[in-house]
Amino acid sequence: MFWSSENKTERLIARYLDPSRRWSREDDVQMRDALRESETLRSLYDKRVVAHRLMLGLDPETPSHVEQDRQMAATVRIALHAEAAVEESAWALPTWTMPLAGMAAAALVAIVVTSNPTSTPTPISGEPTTSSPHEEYLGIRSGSRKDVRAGIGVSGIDAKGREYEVQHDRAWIQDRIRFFYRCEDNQLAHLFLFGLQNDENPRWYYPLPAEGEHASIPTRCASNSQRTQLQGDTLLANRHVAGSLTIVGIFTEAPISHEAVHASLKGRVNRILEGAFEDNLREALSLDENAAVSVVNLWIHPERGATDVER
Amino acid sequence: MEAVYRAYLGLVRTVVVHGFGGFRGFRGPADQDDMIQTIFLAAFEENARLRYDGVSPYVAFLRGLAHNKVRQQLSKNTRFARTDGAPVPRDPMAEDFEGEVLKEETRTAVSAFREGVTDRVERAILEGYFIEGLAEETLASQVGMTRYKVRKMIAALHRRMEKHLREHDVLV
Repeated sequence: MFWSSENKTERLIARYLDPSRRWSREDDVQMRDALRESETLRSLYDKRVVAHRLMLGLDPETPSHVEQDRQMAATVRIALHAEAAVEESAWALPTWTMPLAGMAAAALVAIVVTSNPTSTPTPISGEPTTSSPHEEYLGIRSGSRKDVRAGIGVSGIDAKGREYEVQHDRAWIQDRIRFFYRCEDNQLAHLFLFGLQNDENPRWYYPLPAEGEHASIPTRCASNSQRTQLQGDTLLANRHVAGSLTIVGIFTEAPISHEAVHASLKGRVNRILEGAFEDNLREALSLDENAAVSVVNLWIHPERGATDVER
Repeated sequence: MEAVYRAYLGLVRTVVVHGFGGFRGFRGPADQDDMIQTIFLAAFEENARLRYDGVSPYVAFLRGLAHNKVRQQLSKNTRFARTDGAPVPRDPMAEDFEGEVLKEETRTAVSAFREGVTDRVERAILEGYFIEGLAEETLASQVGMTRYKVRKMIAALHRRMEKHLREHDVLV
């Protein structure tokens, strides 16, 4: 069964690049669905497409007109088909049933909301990753946010990919955490993000040297700017242990190198964590007064269901 | 929709291939093409069309939508997650895309196909149809052939390309 579907997709890929053969909406949907599911097929597609481009004397990243025409025609057909399907389903429901359907939907929402078990992480987002400043609750999520120019936010992601509010400032080992920021001062063009636990080893997030990043990442700070989600989530494993985690975001005008921060924090983490944290940190890193520092304190619990550690 | 697609493909492609913010772009054509299609399909949805006010530049609207769609894809798919030193699957193309897809010698051999097309008409069709996207009718009038013959030559060129790939073990 697997082999036959794989062979079928191989044939579809070959047909996709053959301008003398017909390419339908169904072909395109079938091929893209199969590619999403299989690393092997994606590699095959990449190989075929790159070879096709090279044979035409194109750059490996530049699609040929055959590809572009195929993709455009399929995309337009898929969009029109989806629209027609929506209209059809709307007409399929007699008009007099609309109010009833609305009431049923409202009742269903009420049931779902009221029956939400407290122990289950509450999904806080599905679709949008940006929101208007009015809907923003970054300051609350981040704890106290003294500097209103810039702030970071954190949410947790469980093993099933559900995003949850870091309620009561906690997350769990083996979950992932997702970072956001919002910044209204367009001079604060760079962000350096790291975490501190009660040992001398900072946890680097952005930049992450293991990913070949060695300096602050660029921000999109602007007045009335929206919340920005940072690419990629961070797994709370290996480098992290149960216990407190202080996440620090430093917004600066010029980029800061990982090397400089690493050198400044070396052997001083515990001292910085004691007392006036932000002042200690500013002094240790020699931050100028234009820099904005945002701090989120989390408590990482051991695995779900395990007894919480003593705080 | 076709007009919008043609006009803004460059913008969407740039977002997908070269990235934005801290994101460095999708590496493989499979992921790139899938993302481009996802973005245009989202832009063509009725809700998205209604959300656009028609006054502000469409470029800004589409770019915002593209960024959101890319972020959603990065968030939901662990293939694109930062590894954080843990055994999370990662995009195998991330480091050396071209080297991963085709070895250097294969790339050189495959690239030589174009030089092997020496016939003037075949060359005109290869470049006009496959690269520039000229219509068969336009090509037919340019090379002084019937449209039927042009179509036959396009098919023949494609067969030669397939043969070339088999000869260099790109296709089995």
